[in-house]
Amino acid sequence: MLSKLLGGLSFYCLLAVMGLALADPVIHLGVLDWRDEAKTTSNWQPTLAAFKHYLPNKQLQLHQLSLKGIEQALAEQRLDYLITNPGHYVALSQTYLLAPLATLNNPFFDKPQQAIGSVVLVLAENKHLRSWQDLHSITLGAVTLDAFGGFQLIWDELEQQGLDPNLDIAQLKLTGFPMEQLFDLLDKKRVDAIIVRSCLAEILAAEGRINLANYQVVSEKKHPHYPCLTSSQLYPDWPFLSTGTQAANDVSQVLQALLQPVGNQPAQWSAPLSYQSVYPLFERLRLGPFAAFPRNPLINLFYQYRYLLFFVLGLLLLTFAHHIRTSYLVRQRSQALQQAMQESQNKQKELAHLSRFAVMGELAAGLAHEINQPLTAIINYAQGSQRLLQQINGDNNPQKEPLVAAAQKIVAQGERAAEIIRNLRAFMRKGSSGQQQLDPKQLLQEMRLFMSANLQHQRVELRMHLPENLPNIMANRVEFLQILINLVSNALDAMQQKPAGYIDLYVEHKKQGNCVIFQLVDQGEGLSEQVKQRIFEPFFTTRPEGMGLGLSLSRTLASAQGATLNLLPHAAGGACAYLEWPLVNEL
Amino acid sequence: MNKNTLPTFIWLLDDEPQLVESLQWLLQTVGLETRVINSALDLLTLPLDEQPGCLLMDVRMPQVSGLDLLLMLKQHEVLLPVILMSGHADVAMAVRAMKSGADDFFEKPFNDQQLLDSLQAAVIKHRQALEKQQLLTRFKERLAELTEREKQIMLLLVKGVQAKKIADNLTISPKTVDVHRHNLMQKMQVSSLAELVHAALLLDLPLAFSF
Repeated sequence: MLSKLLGGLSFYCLLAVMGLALADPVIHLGVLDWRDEAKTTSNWQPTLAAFKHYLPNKQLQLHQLSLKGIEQALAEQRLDYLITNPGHYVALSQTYLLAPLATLNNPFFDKPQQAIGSVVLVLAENKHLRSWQDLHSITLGAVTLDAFGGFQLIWDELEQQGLDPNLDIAQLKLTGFPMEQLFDLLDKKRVDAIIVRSCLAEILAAEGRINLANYQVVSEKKHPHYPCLTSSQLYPDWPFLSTGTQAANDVSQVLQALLQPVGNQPAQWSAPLSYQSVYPLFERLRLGPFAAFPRNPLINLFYQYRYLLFFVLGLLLLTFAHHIRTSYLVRQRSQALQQAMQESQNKQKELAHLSRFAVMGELAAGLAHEINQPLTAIINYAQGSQRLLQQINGDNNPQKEPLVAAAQKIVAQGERAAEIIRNLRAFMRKGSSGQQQLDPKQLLQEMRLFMSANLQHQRVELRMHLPENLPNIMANRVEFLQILINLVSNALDAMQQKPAGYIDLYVEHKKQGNCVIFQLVDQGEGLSEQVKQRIFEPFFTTRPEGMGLGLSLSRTLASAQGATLNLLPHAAGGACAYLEWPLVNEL
Repeated sequence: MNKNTLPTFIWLLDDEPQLVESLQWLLQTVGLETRVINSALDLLTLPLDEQPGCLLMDVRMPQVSGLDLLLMLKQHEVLLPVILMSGHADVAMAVRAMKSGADDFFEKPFNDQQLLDSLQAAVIKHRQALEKQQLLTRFKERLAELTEREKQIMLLLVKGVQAKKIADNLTISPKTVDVHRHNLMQKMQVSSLAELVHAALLLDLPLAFSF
């Protein structure tokens, strides 16, 4: 029972309080006082008249306040409505629930979303002050740092030019409102330039208080149809704000009063505009809602050096691109190299195979020669014996006939052995045919490819002395290569004791002989008379690990193709391999 | 001085003494006398063209190739025929040997009869060559003994010009021509005009001549 009573009591109390608030006939309207008080009152005269006309039973109380004063009044909930600049509104809207009911009609300009700007003025005589950069190290006059049209818009412009008002302007002289006193400062040359809301100069000129011709705009921005001098972007005109203390019905009545003309005087207000365009500005300047994010000195620095940064970034990008390109090329080339190496290896394998075959052939030839000699002697003796036996007079001798037959058999068996060797040699020599027209230069390059590893290993340079026009030679490619490789290997072996050196290959076309002569000169030990006599014998070698077939094989291969090969001592001390290769094989 | 009576030599050159020995033995069985050449280097100092013969030589020898020796002999205008033999012959080598002026080419081991036939043929060829050379030398010597006038008359005679015409041409009497003719034929040791023409042919004197 008691609780119900108490609850009912409190409900009535609440109603009474609300009713008191509803019943309050006084409307408190706060106005930012940016010029002197008398002017402000006259400025807002049409609005005051509208209130008086449409809301006669309400009493309007006008509070002319500074920026700080407005904030304080809002905090104490002393205001029902508020007229202030767009910047201030955006800043306040962070803390207070403000609803724009209407936007001020600009008396000069019928485009309300572009009504407020800012202008930097200098005395016309100061001809050197014309652009933002000229403001470097001057004294600049402004009202306060909080002023929207009076400072913040220009601050934004300066920052966009890479100028910091705190650092780059020598001195900032802040006078506070009213704004027109700045003109006095400028006229008295106590400052070099002033920041004022756009159109103020034009208003003052209209009032006859200044002469516009005395001033000059810094970095003038032209806006189509905008009649006032500006140095900045344009923003929407001042809003009429509801602070939310009044009932919705009362706010609607106020709004109706604002939008309707009084007599023949047009309404001072029209439907509210979006103030969204102020936000990016505040974001740039770290003001209002964005003040919570203090200016990062690092970001500031980035911003200040953004062109350098872009340049460096671009450079980095280019470097990266270059790196990618380089690595692509490297990969491509190494692939090609690998392929070339594979090819060279394959060729070497092929050559090694053929070389083994040729060595076997030479081995067989050497063996054949060695065995053929005694075999020939045996057959000679047997044939001689046969003749002698037949010359013996004694047909009655019973031993004569079997002896002749035996001698015949010795000859037959000997010939059989010789035939076997001949067949073996013929088999081994198979495939040595296949001669064709070949370019010696190309063959020599191929040979160099084969020998490059060995040459590098022994630090020997193979110098080729080739004449301009070399005719083709008639040769079997593989065998020609084999001969030259054998000769170069031989030269390298002879130079094994040397740390480095040269092998010279002289090539000449001998027209009389119809042949090409290859002379390979090494810087080795040279040839002793004893070695020179036996150097082409099969199985003759001066190296303990040598087989002694290289040169003999080379000579065999050469003579099989109509060429001749000799090894001579060279005047300079080394040996010279002399290979005479016919252009046409006459065999 | 008939070369027929001279002994026949087969010169042997091979780097293997045992093979040379066997060849000597084989050739002796058919009565051919052999001379072994020990070093290829003194080949040119040997009396190769003193009596009929033939050189039987290996192609592959350590110091020098048989083919090179053959070319050297031909360059020095040695008449001795050369037969080459090789233990590892092939067509290419055989062709080269023949082109270089070898009389024959044998692959070791060889058939004795073929070798002997070839050797005999070579010896006969050498003998004929030597005889021809000897005769030529002799005619050259005799030709040198003739007087200028005798030489002049001999040239006309071998061209078939009659004595009377020769006399007219040289503005001497036919009698004098006869005397010269008699003397020159005696000096040339020929008994007929045919023999004189033969000598002129050997000496390579100009025969086709017209007044």
